[in-house]
Amino acid sequence: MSQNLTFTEKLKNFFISNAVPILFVVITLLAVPVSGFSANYLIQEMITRIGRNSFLVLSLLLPIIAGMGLNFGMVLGAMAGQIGLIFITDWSIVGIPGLVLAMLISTPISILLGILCGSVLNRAKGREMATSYILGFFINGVYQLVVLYFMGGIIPVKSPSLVLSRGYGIRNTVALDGVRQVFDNMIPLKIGEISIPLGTFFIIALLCLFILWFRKTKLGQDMRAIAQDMKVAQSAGIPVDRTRIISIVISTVLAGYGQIIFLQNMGTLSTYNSHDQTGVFSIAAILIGGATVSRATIPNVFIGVILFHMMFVVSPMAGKNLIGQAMLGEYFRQFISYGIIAIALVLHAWRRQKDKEMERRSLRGVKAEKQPQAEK
Amino acid sequence: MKRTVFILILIALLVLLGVWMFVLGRQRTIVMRNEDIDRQGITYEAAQIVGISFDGAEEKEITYDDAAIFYLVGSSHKLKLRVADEDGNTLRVVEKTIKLDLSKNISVDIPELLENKEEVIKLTGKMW
Repeated sequence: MSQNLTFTEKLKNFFISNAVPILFVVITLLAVPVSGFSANYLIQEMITRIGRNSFLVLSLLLPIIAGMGLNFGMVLGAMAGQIGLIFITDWSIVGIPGLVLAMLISTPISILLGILCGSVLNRAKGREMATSYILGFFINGVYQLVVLYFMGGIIPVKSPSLVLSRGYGIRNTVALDGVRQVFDNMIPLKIGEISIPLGTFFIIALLCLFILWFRKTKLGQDMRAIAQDMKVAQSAGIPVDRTRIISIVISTVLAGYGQIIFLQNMGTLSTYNSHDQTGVFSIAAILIGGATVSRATIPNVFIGVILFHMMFVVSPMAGKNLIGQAMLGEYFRQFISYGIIAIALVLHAWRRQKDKEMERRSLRGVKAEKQPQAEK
Repeated sequence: MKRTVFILILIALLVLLGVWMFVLGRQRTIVMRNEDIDRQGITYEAAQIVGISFDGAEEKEITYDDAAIFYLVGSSHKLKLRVADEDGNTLRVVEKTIKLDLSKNISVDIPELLENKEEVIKLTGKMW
């Protein structure tokens, strides 16, 4: 069908399909010179942020492959990752063993939360994104109950640097001194003035390979079939509900690991806030990279992380230089994150409507072409 | 049945990996105290200056009635103690291998340690 399109239509389709990344490239190109940052600084920032955020954003791919849209429920995994980090800080487990142990602790919690999330989403088919978003708020309440009241009391956490002076509950901020940038510095590499977190990149590359391999497995193919048409997949004997739960479980577990990688780079855990924006920022990044609710690839992740975080870095300074207030840039970040999700969702709905219209028109065309032949 | 056994083995392996990571990454806080102490009627006198170094790292110097904190990962460490007089002249150097259990906080009295003739010394402290 696309072969029949004229050049103008093809161009139009290209711009429509890539509206969000193009918009961001334009904004970034305008904002970078205004910010006044040097190329070296921006490259270093981007490399650091690719290492920090890519794993989290990659965790969103599997639910999209399975047709479940953007997994706002990834914050559940982020919370599990944070619980792992709280425990290893209390037990004084440092270095790579500390991070591995935090991942091991987060895994069963993520699996349980993933099963819960997947089961709920199976009862809300077609409304997965809104449901997972609200589920995130619900589990956040449970997380706060556990961390604020159970830890230090029912759950043994002894370290005075962690527990509030009243004897239970975890402090607002936890310093992750023992695991700070451990993955980043695992394989030290410096090119000129730019340091590259090769260890973290290696882990991200492993995840990319896993995703590529996974798509080719039976389970991966089942997920793609479910995304195409759930009813057809069910008739073909694919256990739809189970497969959907598995995709959410894997995504939640990966989000937990992603949050651990994110926080080891930051070096500080904000106990009650770190996970808050994880979902929104990761989803905004993947959408900016050109992904849609129903289609996402690995390049979308990296393009999105670079564009979104370039905006993050340059917008406060650009705001300050233009208007004289750095705070405006901070508001701009929030506005961009939520705004881009709204734009992407609207574009997705609009594109679906357009596709349906085109499909109808093409069917009418075929019919109209066939009719005169039949008359002959 | 096969599937259940596989899952159980996997869980056991992950638990073992967790225990291994715990042992491997456990950081001990060691307080080295240089003060006079009495142990079972015997008085151990503290030196004027003691230089402490673990595993060939940079030496930390403490004076009489002072203490220093070290953070160590792993169970076996080489400890080097340099005893000096008031003017900083080295009187003797003692090297020992210390073995740490999984205790998180360990307190060491240097005068007692200096008198200990054993080459390998096991240290224990508070678990949490």
